[in-house]
Amino acid sequence: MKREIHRLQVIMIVFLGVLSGMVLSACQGRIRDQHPGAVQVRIPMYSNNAYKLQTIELISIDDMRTLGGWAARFFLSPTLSRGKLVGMQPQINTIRTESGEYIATDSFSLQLLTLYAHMEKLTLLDDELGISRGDESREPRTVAIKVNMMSESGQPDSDNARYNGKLDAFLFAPYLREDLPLTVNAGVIAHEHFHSIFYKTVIQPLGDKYPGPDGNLHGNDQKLLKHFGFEEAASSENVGLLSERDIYHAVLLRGLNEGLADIWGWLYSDDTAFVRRSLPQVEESRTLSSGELKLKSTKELRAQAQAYHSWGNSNAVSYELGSQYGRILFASLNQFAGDPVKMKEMKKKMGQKINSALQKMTIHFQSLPGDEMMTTEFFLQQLQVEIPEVKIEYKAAK
Amino acid sequence: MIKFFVLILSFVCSVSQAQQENTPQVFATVGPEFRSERNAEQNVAPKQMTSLSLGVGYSHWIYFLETGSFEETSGNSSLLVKRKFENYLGGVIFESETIFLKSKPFLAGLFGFSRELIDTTVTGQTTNDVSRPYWVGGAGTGLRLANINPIWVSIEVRLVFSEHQDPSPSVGGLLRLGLLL
Repeated sequence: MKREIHRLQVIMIVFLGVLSGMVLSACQGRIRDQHPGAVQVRIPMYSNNAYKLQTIELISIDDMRTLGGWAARFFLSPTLSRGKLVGMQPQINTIRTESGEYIATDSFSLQLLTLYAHMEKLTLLDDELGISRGDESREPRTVAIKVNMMSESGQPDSDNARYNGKLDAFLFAPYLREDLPLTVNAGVIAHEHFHSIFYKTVIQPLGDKYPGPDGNLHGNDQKLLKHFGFEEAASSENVGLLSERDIYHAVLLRGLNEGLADIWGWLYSDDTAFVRRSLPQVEESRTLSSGELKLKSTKELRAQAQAYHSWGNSNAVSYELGSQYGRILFASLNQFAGDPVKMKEMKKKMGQKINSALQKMTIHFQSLPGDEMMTTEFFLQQLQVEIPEVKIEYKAAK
Repeated sequence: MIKFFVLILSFVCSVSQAQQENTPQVFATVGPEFRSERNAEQNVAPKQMTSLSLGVGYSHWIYFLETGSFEETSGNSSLLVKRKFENYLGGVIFESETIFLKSKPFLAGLFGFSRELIDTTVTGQTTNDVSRPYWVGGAGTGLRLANINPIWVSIEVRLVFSEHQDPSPSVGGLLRLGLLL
């Protein structure tokens, strides 16, 4: 019996030693997950008309486990508190291959890793194009995943992404379809990113002059904010007080915002049909490379905006107008399709000039007399002045 | 790591000294093992794998090799990630002569590595990746039903450490069913 007790003591001592070693080893593993510097990740990227896994270098990641870095900060199913999103930060699961690449080990981790990569690349693209978001300290962009939003019908929203200017946050509802998740769709992410540029270039500077209840980009955001408990912002009491002129301008600016966001999605991803990859039901209406190059006249838009607004569905007119802007600008750049080098150069220039044309349009809009309206053609005319080497052609409706 | 090997070596040496001149017995078991793992949504979820063990026993001491694996799939048909987790361990069990609840209590120590095989399918195209080996170690304690030789039935609670898994350590459990011939 004594001998057995002695043996057990020996074993316990050895066990304690082994456990200490293991704790040390586990801690070293955690330290290895922190990477102040470039890391290689394998994520789905668009190339040659399809999404394929590619190795991408990320330069902003500090911690692979929490996806900490200057490009994005994620919140999982957040709530709203005092006007800010609050919620848990997700952690991703990855393995590291012998060659040092990080590979996500589940679909959700892969989606977050891809989304982070796009946020980093879009920030770098902004830098390249000289677009300032008024935040030189490089605060991470707020990205909320699996957000409990509400649809137009008041049902839980899904398969949707949006940017909310008040929160300065990208919001992704759960994706339930069998197609490409929105969180890995480069075009969709760039589309939403453009909304943040538009918000800071047009909506914010216009302030109270922006024709809408609270400067939100989508009508849905009223319900979204209400769902979050943001009652003040969700108040729609003043919606009914909008003048006919305001309704027209709201539809025009929203349409321009959507159309330019579609172009931004293409400029960034090279994918002309990025919406259809995740939402095939909107293929026809949102594909940049199809359809006539016509633009609604000011008169036509004014009449439609008023009619649809009274039916409570002016978003449909905005999206239709947006698609027209998108197709016109796509066609104007597609003239260079035969020369990839020139095309790349012109796409970059178009990105820069869209931003400067928007700034000029905002100044023009602020100076408009109370009885005058900005025409549907104004932005395109302004852009044509900015980028004379690109022929912006379309058929203006009478 | 060197410190770790020295510890393991000293453990094996202490075991050798204690060995008696009994005829070695072959040991083979199979059974479910449960571990916990944190997912991307920060929930700690249980993972079940099937563990196979093969070893040799001298009196109180049983040396064994163990392997276990599980598979899981996530995503949709456009973005599918299939993960296979594999465990390769070696270990030692010291079994007490004392009978407690008609069972013999034992202590176990294990050390080895795990690896993961990831198949990522993006719009129909699949890419296969294998992780580098991650060190795994652990300690466990359990009870084996006594006096039913050559049948082995035991239950074990484990504390498993790994340089890769989260949480680490994780608490797990293992049921072994097999033979000790």
